Amino acid sequence: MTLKKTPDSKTNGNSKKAVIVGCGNYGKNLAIKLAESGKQVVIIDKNRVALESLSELSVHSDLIVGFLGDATLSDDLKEIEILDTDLFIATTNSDSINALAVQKAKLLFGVDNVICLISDVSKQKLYERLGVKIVNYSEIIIESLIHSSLEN
Amino acid sequence: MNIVIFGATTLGRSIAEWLLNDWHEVSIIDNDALRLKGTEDQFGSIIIEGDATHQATLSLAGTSRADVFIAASDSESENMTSCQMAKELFNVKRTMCVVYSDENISLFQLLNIDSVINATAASLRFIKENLSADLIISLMDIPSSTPANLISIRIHQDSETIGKTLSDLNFPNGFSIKMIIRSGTVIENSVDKTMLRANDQVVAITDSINLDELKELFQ
Repeated sequence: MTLKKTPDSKTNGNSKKAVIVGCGNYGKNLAIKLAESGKQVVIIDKNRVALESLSELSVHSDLIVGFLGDATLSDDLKEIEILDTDLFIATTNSDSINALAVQKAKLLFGVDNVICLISDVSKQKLYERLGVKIVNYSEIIIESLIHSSLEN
Repeated sequence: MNIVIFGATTLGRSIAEWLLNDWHEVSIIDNDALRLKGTEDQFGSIIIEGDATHQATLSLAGTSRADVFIAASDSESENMTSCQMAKELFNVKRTMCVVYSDENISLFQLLNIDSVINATAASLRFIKENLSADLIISLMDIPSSTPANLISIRIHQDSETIGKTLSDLNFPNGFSIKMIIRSGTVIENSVDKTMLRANDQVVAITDSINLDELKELFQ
């Protein structure tokens, strides 16, 4: 179910869009960053309330679209036109859901760049070997904590 | 063999029970304390509490020594992740993953998971077989100019045919009784005059067109 109409592709040249799985703080802020560089972004989430928070976005609301659905289901991925995607980032708080979604996007739908957020370091090697880029959530938080403590 | 099971679900526990009865070495991983308690009461100390998608938990369960890893939790994504880890990080030869729909079967096969088992389809098949076993099973197609079928009819305990002989019944054309199997013994002589009992198995040849009619007759 599309919450907002997909922006006209003409506004964005002919470049492909990005898909972000999970409309939490991380997913939303990532979407804003991508939209700042002119990228069209679809955020998919199973939770309607999380998606409704998108309507409060003050910036780039024209480029960011919410979609109510399950990113681990092929039907829902087809509905967000996964074949027209060149960047797929899974940011839910479940490592396994993220891993399932990105591997599906990569292996079944051939998305070039897939990025998987994980909190458990022991999976890093495994998924990197399978050609999935891994972002380690806890590492990022620790790095930014160190960074901010140095600043103070 | 040494087998690690992920998921102290009803399914996981049944698999464990079956393997333990066969003298295999089994560990079962789950993160739900209540489910683990039940499992421990049933089988003793084969349980590992923790997240089966974490290397430390898999390590604790002895996955590096396992011949087989079976993921039978309720979560397809966690089943996938644990199987991938068992295979890639612990070099388990045979990984088996339970799924509940057709959605992920092809992907999981691509991911080198050795067996992907659709639990829903398997139980549906079992139910169908059992439903039809109460009445008529087709044993064999007999190729000939007019196609025929070797069938077996089990007499249900509520069947109206009980106490009747086969010659009392009004069989459709193209139906011929060959034998009755009653508690393991075969009755071949004067089949027509044998009185039917519950659980008798009637073996007959028929043209397949009459199957529906037969079902009604033996109800």
